[in-house]
Amino acid sequence: MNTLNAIDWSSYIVEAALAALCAALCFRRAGKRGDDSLFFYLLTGFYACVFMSDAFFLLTWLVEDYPFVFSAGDISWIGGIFFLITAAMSLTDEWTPEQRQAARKYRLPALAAPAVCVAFNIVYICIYPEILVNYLLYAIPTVILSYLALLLYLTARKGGAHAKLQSYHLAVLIWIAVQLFYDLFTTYREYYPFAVGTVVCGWLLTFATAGVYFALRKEAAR
Amino acid sequence: MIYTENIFVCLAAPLLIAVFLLKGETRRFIGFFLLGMTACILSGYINSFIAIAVTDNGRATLTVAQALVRMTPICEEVMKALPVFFFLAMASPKREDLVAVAFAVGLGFATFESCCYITQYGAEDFFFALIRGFSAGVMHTICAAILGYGLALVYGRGRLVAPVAFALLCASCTFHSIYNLLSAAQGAWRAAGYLLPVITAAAILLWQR
Repeated sequence: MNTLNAIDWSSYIVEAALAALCAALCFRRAGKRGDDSLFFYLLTGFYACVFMSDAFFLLTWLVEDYPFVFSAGDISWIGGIFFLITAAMSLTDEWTPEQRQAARKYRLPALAAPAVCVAFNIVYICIYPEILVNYLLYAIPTVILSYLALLLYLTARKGGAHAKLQSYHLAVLIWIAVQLFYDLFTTYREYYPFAVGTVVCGWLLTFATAGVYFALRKEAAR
Repeated sequence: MIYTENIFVCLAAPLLIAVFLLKGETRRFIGFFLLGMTACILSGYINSFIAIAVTDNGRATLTVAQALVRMTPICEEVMKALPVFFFLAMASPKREDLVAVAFAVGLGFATFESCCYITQYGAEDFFFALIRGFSAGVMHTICAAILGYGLALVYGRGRLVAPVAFALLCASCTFHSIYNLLSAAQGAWRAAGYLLPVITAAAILLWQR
């Protein structure tokens, strides 16, 4: 294991620890809240999935030293994305007909986020066409989440529904963006600049994941 | 080699009669317990097929042990979830019924798997049976509980149910994979794997209180 790998792996350990902490904090918040506890339970699910994904990758590396192929760690990560999608959907469910009407005008601009995701994923698929299914499994939920996050962010920014959650939606968008760059860099990680990019994006992803909860702190404190 | 079908028929026959004789919640519990056992035997067949497909096709990327860690949990968890999804789609259950049904399926699966395991490896060693019961047995029940509690949380919220069901399935697959990975290792890792389900069960118990 070289130094770069050690730095890369340490980001997994920190990410797992932060995810466990955030899961515990979200779970505590969910227990304290009444009718709107579902959102925090869903975030608990997201962080639990991220924790299990990192734990699986780390244990695979420590116990068996497997080569990286699509595995339960990836499945858990996809599960985490689905929890975030459901959390976003739970927010849109609470919209009044007026808020829904007001959000209509952001539907078209919100398509910019999925367009960027699709562009990135086309690049991956062109590089590694043999693992098309793996990328599609990652890409489809990410595209859906990016659309919902941007729609909710634009609505909140213009003073519409859930205006207090503006920073949360932005944190989700940042998390998606970092993930896209991380995947792009890992594709060519054998080459020096990309290897450094992988490590940098790995650490950014670690903090972006925790940032999703900490962007909620004002709302959580309510 | 063991004859799992024979074990299944022997165990399922009295339960099947009980399903017709009993009524209400007890009937439902035994019915889904039986479905859990059925899910176990069917996933055994599918796992055998997958193990051959990924390890013996000339361009294998996984060994049998790796396939057990990576593929088996996905198949088993999907098979365990199907009866719960069926109940959710066909009945109009109460939240607590959903949890009870998920537990029943998990218990049925765990019981049948343990029966087959004991038949194959022998029941002479009490310590082995104890470890098996408190590790794999509890693990299957925990995975089913994750699904049951999670679905109960979003039950009645319309379009939220499907994505949460998928996410919960992903979570239970990973939990199962982590257990398989650790229990297939040696030394302290194996001990950690055996303890994982019991610790998780204790955490759920604390949460319920």
